[in-house]
Amino acid sequence: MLERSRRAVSSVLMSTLPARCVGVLFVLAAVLKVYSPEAVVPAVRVLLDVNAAVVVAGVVICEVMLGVWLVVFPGVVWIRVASALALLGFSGALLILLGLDDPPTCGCFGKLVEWRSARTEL
Amino acid sequence: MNRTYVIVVTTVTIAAACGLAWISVLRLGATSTRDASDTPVSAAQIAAFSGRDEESIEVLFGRLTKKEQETVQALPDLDERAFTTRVFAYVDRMSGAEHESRFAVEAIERYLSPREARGRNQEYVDQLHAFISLGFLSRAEVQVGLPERHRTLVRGMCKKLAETRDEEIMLMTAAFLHATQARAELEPSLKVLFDSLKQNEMVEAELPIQIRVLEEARHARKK
Repeated sequence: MLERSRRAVSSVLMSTLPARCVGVLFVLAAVLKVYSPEAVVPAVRVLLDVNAAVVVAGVVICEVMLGVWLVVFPGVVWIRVASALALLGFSGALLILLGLDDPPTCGCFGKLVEWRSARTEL
Repeated sequence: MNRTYVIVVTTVTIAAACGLAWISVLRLGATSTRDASDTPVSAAQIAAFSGRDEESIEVLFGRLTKKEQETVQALPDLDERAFTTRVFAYVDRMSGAEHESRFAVEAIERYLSPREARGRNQEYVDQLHAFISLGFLSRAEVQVGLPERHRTLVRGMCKKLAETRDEEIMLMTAAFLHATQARAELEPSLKVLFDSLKQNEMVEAELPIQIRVLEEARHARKK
């Protein structure tokens, strides 16, 4: 009986582990964006013709909510679908940036990848 | 799943997300007050290049050398005096050894930082645009002569920009040199630039008038 329960718990954990990992990644990305929001601005300016602050706030809200919900409620289908759509959107943005001649940093994780200034170059 | 538990988690998550978003907006506002548009650098923006906007013109003026103060006082227009004071204050601050070998547009770079988006090459171009728009080198040159620190910087810049072999950067460099009314002291730097240009057939074929003017001026000086 006990062994069966352990297996059931283990099975549930394993099946929800990828979703939880994605959730943690979302939250991490949001926190890093809050820490250095200016890192997102270059990509926003290239991709969209809107106020960068609005985009940053929207992305942070989206990431925190989806991230926490994925960690807490990993089995809920609509949360998974919404997360997948968000990831698709982010991937599309990255593909557009990669298509540029001299792409800016995406700022997905804030300033984890430091931009090198002309001063540094010189 | 417990309904209360779901409601509590959802509420806390939404509150946390909104709070974090608000913090990010506040932080963004604090770091991008110098948000740059794509319009040319205006006189007001140039005036802010001193990088110490909180300091009054009087304070900045007090820090200038005697010769610089005399130059400022000789100007008839108040705006011109304020502008020149800021330019001199900025230039003087760049005289420290720490900045000597660097690209002396720290303030400009800060000002232009949203343009980092376009990448390193575009940033060079933007900085050169700003340099030309600012025109402080030519002003300083006319008024007090081109200081050694500027010559050093321009030499370093030419060398670096020539190494990039980027057509637009080279052309902009040429335009920049033209804007600064390049003097004989810059001859070695010009040579580096022109040698590099001549190795690039495409650039050579589309040499703008600025470069031709500079070459003619260079030959004229040699004669």
